[in-house]
Amino acid sequence: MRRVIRQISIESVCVAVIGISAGFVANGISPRGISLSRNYFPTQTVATAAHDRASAPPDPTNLTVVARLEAAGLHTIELPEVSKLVSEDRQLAGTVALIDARHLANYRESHIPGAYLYDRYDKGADPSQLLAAAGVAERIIVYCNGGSCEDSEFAAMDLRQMGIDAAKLFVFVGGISEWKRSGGPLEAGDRASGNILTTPRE
Amino acid sequence: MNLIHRSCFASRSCWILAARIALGGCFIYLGAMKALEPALFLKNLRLFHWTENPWLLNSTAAILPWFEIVCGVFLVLGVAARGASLLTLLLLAGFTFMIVRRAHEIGGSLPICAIRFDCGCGQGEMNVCRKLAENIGLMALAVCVLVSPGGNRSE
Repeated sequence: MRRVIRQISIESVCVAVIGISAGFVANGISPRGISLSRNYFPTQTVATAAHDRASAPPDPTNLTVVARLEAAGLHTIELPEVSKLVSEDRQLAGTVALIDARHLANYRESHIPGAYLYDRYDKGADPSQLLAAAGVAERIIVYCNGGSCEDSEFAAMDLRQMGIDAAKLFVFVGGISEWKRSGGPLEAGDRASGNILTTPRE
Repeated sequence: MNLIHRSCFASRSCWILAARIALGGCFIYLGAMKALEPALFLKNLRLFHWTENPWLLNSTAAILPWFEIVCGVFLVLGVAARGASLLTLLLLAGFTFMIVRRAHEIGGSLPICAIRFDCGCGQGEMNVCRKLAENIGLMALAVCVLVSPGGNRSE
């Protein structure tokens, strides 16, 4: 019996060492790997209870999210104003920069026309083009999925740390979900691909 | 052939082999789903509030999927299978505890079977009761392999 326990223990340790080593190596060589030392979540975890609860309705006014963002020193922007800025083609003039803080696959599926991709979890991402646009823009609007999604908030904090003036930074709390619900135009593929999709208003 | 077939199904080793492959296959699949989207797994892992240390959180998100895959491969191959099954048992016990804790935190007074969330288990958003039933089933398989003298292929 003691021999069996000893054998199982040795086996467990060997498998664990191989598993941990494989994890470090795979994370190191993978382009999707995670930076081990970076603090990806500079604020406290958001309570997502309302979002996850089966019976609880979503917060239609996003009041809790807006309050949290304001406490973090970030401005928010609502859908009507985002729609107005996009329809006025102010992005073309360079006075407005839209930043999509979602994953590349979601971005390629559809994004607000002209938005730059900033996937903060992609260690190979090059933000130079985005920073150049953000540097000259009068308003920088960051969005993600909306609702309990925090990526736009963290992306705005990253930009602030990169030297972008916080007064120009706005988080679109409703995000792409609210944009789609309103029937706003969407662009598929890369930025300025010209592949414009029109979503029906829900 | 018929004799071999019958003796296989009559013997415990066949059932242990099936348990090993089922458990190992599940771990390979679930580990791969997490390894393909490490950032998503990291975000889900954070919501369990088990640590605020970035290095520990990031390392766990980076290593755990591959750790699961390695355990699964050992189980399927039948090499050090009892050691691997012990590790899977410990992992499953830990996951189950964390899921119950988070479900309680999310649901408050709601019945546990009314709660759905993405536990970061590699299967997207799902019902808590279904996930717990799955975990219990996998733990039973892990125990079968662990206590079996024929757990390893060589034995």
